[in-house]
Amino acid sequence: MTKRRRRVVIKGSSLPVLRIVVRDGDASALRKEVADTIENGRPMLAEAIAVLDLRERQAREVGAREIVDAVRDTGVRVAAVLIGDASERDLLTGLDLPVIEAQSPQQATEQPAEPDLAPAYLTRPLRSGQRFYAQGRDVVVAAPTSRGSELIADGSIYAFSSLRGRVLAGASGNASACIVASHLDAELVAVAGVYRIFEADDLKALGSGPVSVGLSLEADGSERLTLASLAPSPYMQRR
Amino acid sequence: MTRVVVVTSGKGGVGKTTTSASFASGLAMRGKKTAVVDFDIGLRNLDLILGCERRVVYDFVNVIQGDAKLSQALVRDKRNENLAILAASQTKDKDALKEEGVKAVFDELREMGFDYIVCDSPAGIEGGALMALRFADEALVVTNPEVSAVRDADRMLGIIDSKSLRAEQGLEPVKEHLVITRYVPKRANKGEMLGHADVQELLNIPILGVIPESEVVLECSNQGTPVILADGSPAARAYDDMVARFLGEERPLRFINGDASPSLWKRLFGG
Repeated sequence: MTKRRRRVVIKGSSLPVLRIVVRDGDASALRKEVADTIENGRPMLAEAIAVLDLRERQAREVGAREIVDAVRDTGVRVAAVLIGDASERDLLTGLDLPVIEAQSPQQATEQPAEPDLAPAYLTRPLRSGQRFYAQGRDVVVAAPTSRGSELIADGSIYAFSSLRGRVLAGASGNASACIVASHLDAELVAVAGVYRIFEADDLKALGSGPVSVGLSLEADGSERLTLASLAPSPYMQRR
Repeated sequence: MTRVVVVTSGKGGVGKTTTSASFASGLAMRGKKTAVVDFDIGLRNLDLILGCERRVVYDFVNVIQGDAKLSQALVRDKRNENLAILAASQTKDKDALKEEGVKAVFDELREMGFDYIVCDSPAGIEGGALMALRFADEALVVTNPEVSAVRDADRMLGIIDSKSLRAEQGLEPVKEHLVITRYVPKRANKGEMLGHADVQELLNIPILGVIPESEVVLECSNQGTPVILADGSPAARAYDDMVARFLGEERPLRFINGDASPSLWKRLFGG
């Protein structure tokens, strides 16, 4: 029996969709603000596809439905609505929009409005108990990470040092993300949610030199984590 | 200018207080005016190790709460006039330490012209330990050559990097030094304990000192003498080297002989 390539494969993705965070519920002010933003040299907003995030909204006098209408009037195409409170779900049913219910992230206000696509650069050692998250981008690592730490990137991880602890690339589903490290001694490695845990001796076969980790597509369409030792270079040899 | 140095570890029983006593004494012996402060409120030990427990009338908490003046609470060391000890309270609990109070005491020590304030941290990562590292300019991170102590030291380094005043204000980071205590070269060479190079690679901070395991340490503790004064013993010489390196002298590591054979780390992971 020959293996047949699947016609439909379901995968995670992170597409360039804007998230419009509405903090105050006043529809007319909102209409004006969105229009102003488009005029002030941000034409990408016109006809953009956006997810409307109502989770940080303070005042609740104006219904979610009116806000959706106000945003639509400016030309932005609303793909879905994020709400934090299940009671608002009823108000949105007539709009025929997908409603996503999710807890508001604690640090939502600290997130930049536009993703910074330059790679993050980690120069201090990542210690046990610490977590570093390169949101929406790659990370270049110039200091070792310790056992018990967590290094997470939505993109790829390039480490010019030892990686210990947990190392997760493509955290929001990017299956083409990879991990390259000059020495890998991790407890857990994951790419796009496909993970492997390692006991002390498991990584021995890869030697102490540089290692790459990525996802490879099997014949049946499934994804498998592949670890490979990179050709030893005299410049990358450890002591 | 006064430098604040915290002696910390995360894990208990690795030799923080022993190291604090010898480090502070060593600085004083080299002419530096040094105050050593016990942050282990409720479990005070430093005064015992330094042999001045009978002369402690007022303590750190009394000064913070305004019950005594700092000059009344500072105990001058009998052996060296450059060294002053501020004992912890034995009766209060660690919540008595408030940041403003600690800052006020440190400011006063600065005004009194101390070159170094050495903070002897309690074990753990709660209030007392956080307060001990809060104002630090430098840190001596003490660990034994075993994996649990090294992991806790790593955790503590992370806390220094995030919770110290220098980190919060975005100043130059706290300067971190590694001190490995209870080191037995023979056992490290046999792979029974981590080698000093393995510990350094795991923690990635420069080694300030490797203190060999020694019977002298227990004797000194019981007699109330800092180990550094136990003339001729390897532990005393290692502590002396450590202080010299801290003050900028170049000294090779001693008492670590037999590095040639493969360490535990190399055996485990194929170095």
